[in-house]
Amino acid sequence: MADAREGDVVPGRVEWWPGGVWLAVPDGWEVVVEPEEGVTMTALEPPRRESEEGGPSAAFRANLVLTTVSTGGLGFRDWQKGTDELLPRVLDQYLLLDLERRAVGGHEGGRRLAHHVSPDGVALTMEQWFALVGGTGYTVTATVDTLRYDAVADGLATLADTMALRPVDGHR
Amino acid sequence: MRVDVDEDTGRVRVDTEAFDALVASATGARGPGGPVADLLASGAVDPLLSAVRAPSVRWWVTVAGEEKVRRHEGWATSGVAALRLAVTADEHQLVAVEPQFVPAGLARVVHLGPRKVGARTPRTVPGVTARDLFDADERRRTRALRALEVSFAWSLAVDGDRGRADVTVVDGPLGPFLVTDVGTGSPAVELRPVSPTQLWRSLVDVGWP
Repeated sequence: MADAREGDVVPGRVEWWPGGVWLAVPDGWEVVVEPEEGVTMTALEPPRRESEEGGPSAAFRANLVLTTVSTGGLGFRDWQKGTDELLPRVLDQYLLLDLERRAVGGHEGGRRLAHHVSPDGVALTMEQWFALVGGTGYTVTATVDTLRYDAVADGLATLADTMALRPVDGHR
Repeated sequence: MRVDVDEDTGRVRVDTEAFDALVASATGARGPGGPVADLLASGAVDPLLSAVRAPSVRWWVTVAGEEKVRRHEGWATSGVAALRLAVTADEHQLVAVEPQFVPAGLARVVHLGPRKVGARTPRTVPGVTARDLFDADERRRTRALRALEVSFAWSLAVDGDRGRADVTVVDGPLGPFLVTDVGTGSPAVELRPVSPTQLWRSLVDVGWP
């Protein structure tokens, strides 16, 4: 990808996670598997050159977070209803911009776009793709500082389109 | 002339006369007087006026429904953006924010959000112009909005380093559509479906400083 510039989201590597998902991760991103309970994987973009001169916004590193949860028998609608109720409570200045039902990884799923503000005052755009596979709820959350969202949106969508999912044993 | 500063929140509200006086003093057109002079002396609008004085990006947003039309505007320079939000036709809230927060502010002003819509296709509606949607005459405006089967319309004009860009959108039960005048000889508009995500991308990608 000779044309790629720093900060571009370029699908580069596909990883297999025991949780049951294939997901492309951009080249050079820092991947951490199971960094905390309930989080299957995080990928963090490298520090940007402009971050040395700019403020918190320039220092923000775009990231992907994959969560794999048992929905405890909840159907797709109830699982996502809970998410819609939770997000405004946990994210500062949460503003839901778009929400659609669409297949993700060939399964019943959807996409959500929202704006919120980080604890250190960075305007962020969050895009989520989520799917229910058996009793397993998968969510990939991409977060980027808002003024860069348009530049990376197509790349993020390409990443989401690479996802392949299967249910996790023991989830219902 | 009316100036109201909320000491707790720093929120500034002014009437049109006071706003015009503030802008005139910021651009050096004339010296302020009365409550505007006091406001300037307080320093409460210093960040805001620094953007008004030398903006690298100017924008204007108009939101029109059947009952009212609100015209907002903003200025942005490196590090600070100023917004004049029309609360009523003669009351304006002045806000200074970092430019990174302007897209979300605009999204709230134009009621950007999810819409439950099915498959949509472009369509052409005769007898209406984009300008009719924002006409000060309520009857003309209402007729245009109803002809398009929409609840409200908004337009955004941005003038900055990338030149001038304009977008007109209508929104309602059928979701958002981009509006373009296509009439040749007789008025008509073309409506093209657009997603909230596409509109968000256009709000983000205007070259904010």
